[in-house]
Amino acid sequence: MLRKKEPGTKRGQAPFSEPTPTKKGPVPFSYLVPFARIGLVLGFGIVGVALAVALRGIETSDPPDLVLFLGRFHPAVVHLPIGALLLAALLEAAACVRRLRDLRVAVPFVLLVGAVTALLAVVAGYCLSLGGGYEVTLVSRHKWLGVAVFVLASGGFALALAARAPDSWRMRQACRVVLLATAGLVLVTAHYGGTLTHGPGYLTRYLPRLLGGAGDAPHNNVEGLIEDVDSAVVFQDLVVPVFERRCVKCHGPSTSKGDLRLDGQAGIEKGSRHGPALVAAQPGQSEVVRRIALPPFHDDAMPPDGEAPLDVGEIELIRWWIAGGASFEATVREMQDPATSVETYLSRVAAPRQPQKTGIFALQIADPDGAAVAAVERAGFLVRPLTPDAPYLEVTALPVRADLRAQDLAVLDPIRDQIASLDLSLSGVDRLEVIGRMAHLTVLHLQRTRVVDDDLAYLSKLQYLEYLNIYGTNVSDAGLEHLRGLKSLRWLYLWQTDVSEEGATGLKGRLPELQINLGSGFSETISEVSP
Amino acid sequence: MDPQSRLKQRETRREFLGRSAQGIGTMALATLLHGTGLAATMSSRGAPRRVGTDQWKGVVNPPHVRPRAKRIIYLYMAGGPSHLETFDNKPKLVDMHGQPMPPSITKGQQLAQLQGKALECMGPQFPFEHFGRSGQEISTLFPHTAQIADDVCIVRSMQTEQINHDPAHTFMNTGSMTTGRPSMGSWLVYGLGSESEDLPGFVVMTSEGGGQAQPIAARQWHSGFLPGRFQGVKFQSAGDAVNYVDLPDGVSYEQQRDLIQTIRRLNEMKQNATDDPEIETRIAQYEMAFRMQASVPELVDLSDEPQYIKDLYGTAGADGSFAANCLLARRMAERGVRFIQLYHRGWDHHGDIKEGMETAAALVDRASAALVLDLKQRGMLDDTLVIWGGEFGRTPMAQGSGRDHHIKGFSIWLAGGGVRPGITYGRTDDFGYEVVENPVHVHDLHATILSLMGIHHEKLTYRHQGRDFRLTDVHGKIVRDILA
Repeated sequence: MLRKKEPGTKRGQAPFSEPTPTKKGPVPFSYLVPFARIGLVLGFGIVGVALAVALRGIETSDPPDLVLFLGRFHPAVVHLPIGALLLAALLEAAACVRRLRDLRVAVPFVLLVGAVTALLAVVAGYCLSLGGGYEVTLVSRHKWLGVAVFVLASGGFALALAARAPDSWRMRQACRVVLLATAGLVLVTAHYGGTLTHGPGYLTRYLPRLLGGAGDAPHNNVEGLIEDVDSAVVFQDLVVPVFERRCVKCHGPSTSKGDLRLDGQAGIEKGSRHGPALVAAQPGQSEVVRRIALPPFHDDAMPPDGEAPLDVGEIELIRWWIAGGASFEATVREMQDPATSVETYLSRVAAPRQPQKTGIFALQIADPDGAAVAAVERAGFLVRPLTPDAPYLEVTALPVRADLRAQDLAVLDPIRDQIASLDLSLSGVDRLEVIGRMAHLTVLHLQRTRVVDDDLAYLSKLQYLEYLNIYGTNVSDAGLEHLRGLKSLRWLYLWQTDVSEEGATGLKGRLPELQINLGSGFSETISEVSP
Repeated sequence: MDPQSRLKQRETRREFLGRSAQGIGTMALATLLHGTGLAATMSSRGAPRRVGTDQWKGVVNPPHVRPRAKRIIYLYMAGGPSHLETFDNKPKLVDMHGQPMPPSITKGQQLAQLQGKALECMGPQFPFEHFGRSGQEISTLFPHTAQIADDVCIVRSMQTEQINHDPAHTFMNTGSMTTGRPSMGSWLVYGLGSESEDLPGFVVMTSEGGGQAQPIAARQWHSGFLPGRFQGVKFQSAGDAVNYVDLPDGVSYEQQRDLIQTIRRLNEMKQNATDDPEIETRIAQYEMAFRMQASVPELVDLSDEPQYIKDLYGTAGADGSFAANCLLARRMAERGVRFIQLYHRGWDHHGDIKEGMETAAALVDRASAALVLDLKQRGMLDDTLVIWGGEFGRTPMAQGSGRDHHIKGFSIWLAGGGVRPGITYGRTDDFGYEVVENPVHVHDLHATILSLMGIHHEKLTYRHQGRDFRLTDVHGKIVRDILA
């Protein structure tokens, strides 16, 4: 027993050590002592409740500054009873282990600290709630749970004192039950407090799927991307997510500081207790814009107290929405053209557009072999990727075209699947076997080469060819016969060839969408149309 | 990578110490191996780094977006052609001719020479008609341009920020009114390189006639803070295109090549020591000049152009006219020049605008349209962007018999290169004063041009004096409505 190890306690009664029996045998009425102590501590609770009831009187009126000042201490004080009361429960539990049973002696002291700070927290919390702006039911629950914590803690303290008496096994058990209940109540109360401060769902937002969470909460504040940004409703789809992300924590259903709610049309239209939240079409006159655009160190800046300010895109988006009339229905398409910063924001929240891939871009083609490309470049060709996101290449013989012959094209063969655009104009090429194997060719420049009718036969399998330029060659109507099956062909240049008007018309009959250019010049008379 | 950061990377402390250690190690090894003959075969220095003359491939490779145009021919109407006598018909001004301009429109606005003067409306000096299947409205002063109405996209809502010629030119070319920024052509060659190894990627020619010819400063095609090799090269439109391009008497081609190669080796030694981008430029320019000794005479020799092509443009060739320049521009485009800019200085009509416009239009109209037609029949209009326009427009208010500078709304046209043909975009008010629909700022034009060339204007940047610069600075919206 502790008593035997600490003989020094004889000199004075340490307040929380077990009472040293002064004499042997029963003391008259000594069994009443614990109850007297319980009564004493219950008095604390009654005082607290009485205080709360007394404070009720000022609830309806505008609370005095002193009350609001005291209220601000709630967040600072509230963590003391949480820590102390949980620690008391932990000490009591740990003391069940024989080697740690000495810890039990600290339980009453820790409980007293917990009870006193709980009282302070309740009082300060009540003052804070008088400032308003919190959801009423949540505050009410939090308040009465807080009072209950204080009462339980006080009771626990009394029981712990009583349990120091020898043979007070039942007191000890009662004390344990109360401690357990207090700890549970602390957790529940704290959770309500957290909900008031951080908004509902804060705790479970990133709950892993394994533990029953949805698992799809967006990270890094990026909301779900908008599929079609043009038809998105500016308020509902763009502004509301910003408010929810940055403002609704304090200006929403659980907490509405300054009586302002930004979680929906009703609250925004109602404004705050200080005035309207915004003036439609007048962003400069709108309080919400003024607040979010202030530098973060300014007293009126929102969000307050060192929280990261809204980023430029978010601010400009809200400014743009208000400038455009603060409509709750308008879509992006119906709004005035946005500033660059807004456009940047829109592109940030828009799902990347997946353009319908057609023609060769719908095919799965391997990237070109680097060594083969290098060989083509060494041969003097210019090689460039056709687009940023496809394996296709544009190859130009321009730098070496003067000396280029058909046999020099062999170097292109290893990348024949990737060449989508080929310019061999003004070169000496004629036979086109290699080109005939370039299945994905869409653009082919053969103007002013030695190409003749029969060479075009090589092109008859190029099903993706859209553009063919053979002006300035000796091609004639007979050569066009080879092109009749080129369903994709849209542009054909035949100036300075032997092709006749009839030949061109005949091909156009087969390929109605084909535009054939046989040369152009000024007409003598100006063709006018009436408007 | 830009040369500055390359230099920085080369000269890090780690690099320096590493190289020093290598040197000490080599000395130690040489001492050990002394007399064995092995040291003689070792060199502490690698082969000299290859620099310079490799064809510049551009920093935008692959392209940011799929390019629609490969080259640009910019017909730059210097002086500020009146939009009210070209592409922006204002019947209201006919009615208001001679009457005072409503003060509600001009009050507090910046004016150039009309500042503080009585403002009187001046009606269009030439009638407008609808042309082509598209029914585009064009002044009858431009009968040939009228014939390509279905090929051009007229933008009536251009806006600039500078009201005097030189800063307005600078703004139109570089996106900034202050000098020192790279011009559009320099940005393009820096971004995309040139297809031509024998001609510069950016060539400028000038012509004049039709009005007072305000000077054009060479810094309009300067490369600014980009390396000097991306600067525009001005060809002369009469006489030798490039001075001293012929070999001096008594010097053979081989001798010239030896000289150039020796100079190159010397420059490379200096380059290895200093890594100065301007030496790289110097090396590249020597090589380019040497190759131009062969390519330029071939370029300007119009003897292989048939007479009917010369007639189409309306020039006998090599006479310094805008028409001759247009023909040369087409030849340059065929040879892979990336950006060709033809200035015609003759549109500054403060007085006698009727006569001045007649003269200038006669010099420019036929050749501009001929260029578009010729490119079209060669199948080159699909990937060549032609732009026709000045640095600003002119006031609806009379300045005696002319018009003053006007920056709040003016017209240009674009053809080919992925621009939607046969449309008119944007609108000015009834006086042709203020843009009231679809404004296209110079920055927007730049963004659109770069986009057509496969470059996103926000991504082509160059770090200079501690920040990233771009042609559109912090502005610019791609005008998607005029893209085909």
